[in-house]
Amino acid sequence: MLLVATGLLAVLLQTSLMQHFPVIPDFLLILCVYLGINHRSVGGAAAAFFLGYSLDSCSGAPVGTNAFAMSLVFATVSAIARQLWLYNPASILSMVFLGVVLKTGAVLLLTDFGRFAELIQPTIARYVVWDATVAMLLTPVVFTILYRGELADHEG
Amino acid sequence: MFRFFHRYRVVLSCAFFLLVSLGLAAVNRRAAYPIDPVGVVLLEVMHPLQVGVTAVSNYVGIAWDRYVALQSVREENEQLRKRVKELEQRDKYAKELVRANERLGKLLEFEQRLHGLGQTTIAASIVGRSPSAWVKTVVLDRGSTQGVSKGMAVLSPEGVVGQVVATTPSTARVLLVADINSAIDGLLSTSRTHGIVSGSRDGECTLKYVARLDEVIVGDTVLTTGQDGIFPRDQVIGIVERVGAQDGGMFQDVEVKLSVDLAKVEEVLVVAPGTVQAAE
Repeated sequence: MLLVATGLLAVLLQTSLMQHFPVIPDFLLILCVYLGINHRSVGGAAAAFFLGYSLDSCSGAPVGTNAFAMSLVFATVSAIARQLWLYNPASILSMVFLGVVLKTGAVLLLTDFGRFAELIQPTIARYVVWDATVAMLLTPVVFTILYRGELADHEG
Repeated sequence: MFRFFHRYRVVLSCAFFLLVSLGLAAVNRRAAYPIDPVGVVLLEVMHPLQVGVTAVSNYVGIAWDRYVALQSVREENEQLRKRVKELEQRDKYAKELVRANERLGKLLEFEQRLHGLGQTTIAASIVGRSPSAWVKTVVLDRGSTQGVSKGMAVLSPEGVVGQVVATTPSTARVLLVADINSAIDGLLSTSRTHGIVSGSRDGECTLKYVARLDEVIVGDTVLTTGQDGIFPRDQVIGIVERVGAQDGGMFQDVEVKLSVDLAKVEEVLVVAPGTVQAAE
């Protein structure tokens, strides 16, 4: 329930309030990485898909674009989390960075497949650094809120 | 079979969602009418929230912009206030300079006129005033080193100020004409009637020893006679302000309004006793 509410809030923030900021913090991506690390389940995969789908629907992007990107990020992070112990800040931040790169690449691939090879390098140079920096700065806050929320949920 | 699905359920679900989203993306990229089965419901749910959040964020944005603008206006206001104070001070200073320039110009003109009459003068500034209400004296910034000596007359362009009563090497004390101990030989400009101009405790001056039968006109100018060997002749002391007869006395009461405002005079000329000549 907490994750659903957080997801909706994140979609809401990202498609309305955050539009005023020069760099839009990708809360959905951080949430997706959180799901990939802590909820490696069918529910987690579905949640990641629906997060991306919601973003597509609410932002006006071609439906399926962000859904694919989020599913890809979830699949990659959960696959790594199965093999490696990721419960430390450095690993989590690395996963977020990787998530930003994967998401940018996936969106670019689906929206401009023909010029993917030509655009990937300048796009990463231009957007990924900023997006990743902002996302990594926000990750500790989002993760702490989610951890505490879930802990309280279990105890309650 | 079931065990296989159960074991790889996460991987399979990931693959499923990736394929579905890829399919949706592929279809919607070319479709004139995008396939978005859940989107309509989702948008209906999210739309009011999005409208609300956007309105609030816009309101906050506008309020913030106004606040920032207000801050800059406040800063500008403070700077302008400072600037106004600075300019007011400069203006006061400039006006003071203009007034000083006018005073000194008059003094210079007066000095040149006295020099033309063969008088030796020493320009001085008043640097101190008597703190006592009973004794009306001032201190000059010129003393015996500069040639000032006891008994010299002190004049300003407006008229008689007083007489030097004591000197030090660098200062001189002047007994003002309004002091009760001051006595200057004076005459009325129209009738040429002589008398002694003397001060009083309350600062008023009188022309003493004017006979009852002598003609005294209110507004007549009182001048120095030059016969005392101290003040040059025909220097203005003041004007007759009021005339009254003493009951049963031989003389008239003639009140004189001094031509020099002794409370405001700042620069004076100390005149050495010399040839008795008219300044006018």
